Formats: sequence, structure tokens, C-alpha cells
Amino acid sequence: MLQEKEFIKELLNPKTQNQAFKKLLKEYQKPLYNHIRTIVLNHDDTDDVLQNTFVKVFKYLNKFKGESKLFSWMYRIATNEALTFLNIKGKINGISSETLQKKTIDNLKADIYFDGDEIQFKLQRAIASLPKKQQLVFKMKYFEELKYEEISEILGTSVGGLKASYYHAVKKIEAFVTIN
Amino acid sequence: MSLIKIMKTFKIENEPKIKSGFIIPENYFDHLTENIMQKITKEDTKVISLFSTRISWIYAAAAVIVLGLIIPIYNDFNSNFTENDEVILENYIANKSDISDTDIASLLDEEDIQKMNVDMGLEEKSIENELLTNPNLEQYITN
Repeated sequence: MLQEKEFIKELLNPKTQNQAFKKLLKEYQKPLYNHIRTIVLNHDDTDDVLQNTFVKVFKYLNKFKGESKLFSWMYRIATNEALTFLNIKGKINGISSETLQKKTIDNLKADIYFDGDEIQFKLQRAIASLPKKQQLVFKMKYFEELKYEEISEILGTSVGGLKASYYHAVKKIEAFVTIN
Repeated sequence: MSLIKIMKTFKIENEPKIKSGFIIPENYFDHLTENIMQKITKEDTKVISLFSTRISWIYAAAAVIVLGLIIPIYNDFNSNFTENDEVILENYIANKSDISDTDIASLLDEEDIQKMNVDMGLEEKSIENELLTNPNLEQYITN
């Protein structure tokens, strides 16, 4: 924790800021990329959202109070950016974000940056049939392999609530894949 | 064989871990840091530039010229303000390059979008007439 405090100081000090921010980028670009990708699904959109996320992180660094961890704060910004992005993209295309998600999944088959077999498509379709919150929890736990404690800090939901969400998500996904 | 036998119950925990299947383009992260640092310094200079020591006589001269141009326009603008309100607003949105489609779209709600979908039912002839009588339209089309 002390280390993180020192690091935040470096991030806020104009003299050390650039170096520190590069360090932050190096450490978080991959996990945040994966997090955003599981939400927006295609690479180009992920690239957009990821860049915006880091620009926002930089912009709001001085407002970061240190009440939560840097890690969960950044994941929160990334999650918000990704969800807002989907809403706006849906709006521009005149469709709901649910329809957009289904369309994007259908497009995955032609996506050169997606290498999936039948079961992976089915899993994506099954996830898309879940309520939004359960989708997020499932993706963060199953694909990103985050701990419940970490997800709890990011989403502001109790660990118990998350476990229940994950359990329901798994049950629904299993039913979906079995039938389809 | 009965249907139930064919349909195997799917259990996530019994399956080998299913990967997301997402591939990251090769060398993507090599350029990412650079791109983001560039964006950040760009944003930074935007904020600082007015107060930075780099204000030279060129800026001062430019300011005088701009003021000289603006004062007559401003006077003119003021006198016509009320009647041209909408035109000015539209021109502003059309020409202001840092307002993106996304920004505009984020301000619209479902109802607005519905309204945009109105089928105008225009005949080619009436479009032609409209274009002939209304030279301003060209500006909207080219934008």
C-alpha cells in the first residue's frame, strides 16, 4: 500500500509524471485491454476505448483520492468507458445495445482477430442472453480470472452478491448451451 | 436413440477452460504507449498554451489582426442576432471540427432519432427545385 502511495505521488509530480505514467501504461495496458475486449468484443473498438480510458485516467489523476486502489479505479473507468461506448454506438446505428451486441457476436465469425470454435461462439451467445450485471461478473471471473474481492472493489458489489450473480450466470449459460 | 441421450448436459466445470478466442494484433502494444503519450501531451498543451511563455510577438500580432476582423463582424452579428440565431447555431455545429458525430449522438435520445427517420417522400424534381432556390443547401451537402 505504501508503495502505491509513493507511486501516486510520482504520478502527480510534474517532474516524474511522464515516466510514472509510462510505467502505469506498461503494467495495465494488457489487463485493461482484455477487460474492455470482453465487453466491446472487437479489436478496433477496444483500441478506441482503451486509449480514451488512459487519457481519462491521466486527466483525472489529480482527482484520484486514494480511497480505492489505483487498480480498481482504473478498471472502473474502463468499464464505464466501454459501456458508454456501446450505448453511443448503438444510438448512432439506431439499435439498442443488446441488438448491437448480438450483431457484433454474429460478426465475430468473420473477424480475423477472433479465433473461436463452435463452443466459443455458443458461449458468447449464451453470455449475451444474460442480464448486464451477470454478464460483467461472468466475464471478469471466468475470462479475466479476477478474484471476487477485486471484482467487488471494481463494481462496488458485495462478494456474496457477486458469488450469487456468478452462480446464476453459470446456470443460465449451461442451460443455454445444452439446448442450443 | 432418444433425444435426451443425444443432448449432453453442458457443465462448465466439467469442460476444459474455454478461452475467449480474442486475438490481439501482433505488435499492438508496441505503439500503444506512444499513441497514448502523444494524446496526453496534446491535451496538456491545449490547456497550458494560453499561459505558456511561448507567447511571442507573432501571437500578439495575430491577436490584433483577429480583433480587427472580429470587431466589425461582432457589431454586425449583434444587430442580427435574434433572427439568425438558428443559422448561426447550425453553422457552428457544421464547421466546428472538434465536435464529433459521437458527441452529437450522445445528446440525442430515442425520440430525436425517431424524428430523424422521417421519410421525406421527396420527388427528384422537388429536390432539384429546392436546390435551385436555396443555394445554402450546398453547404450542408458538402459538409
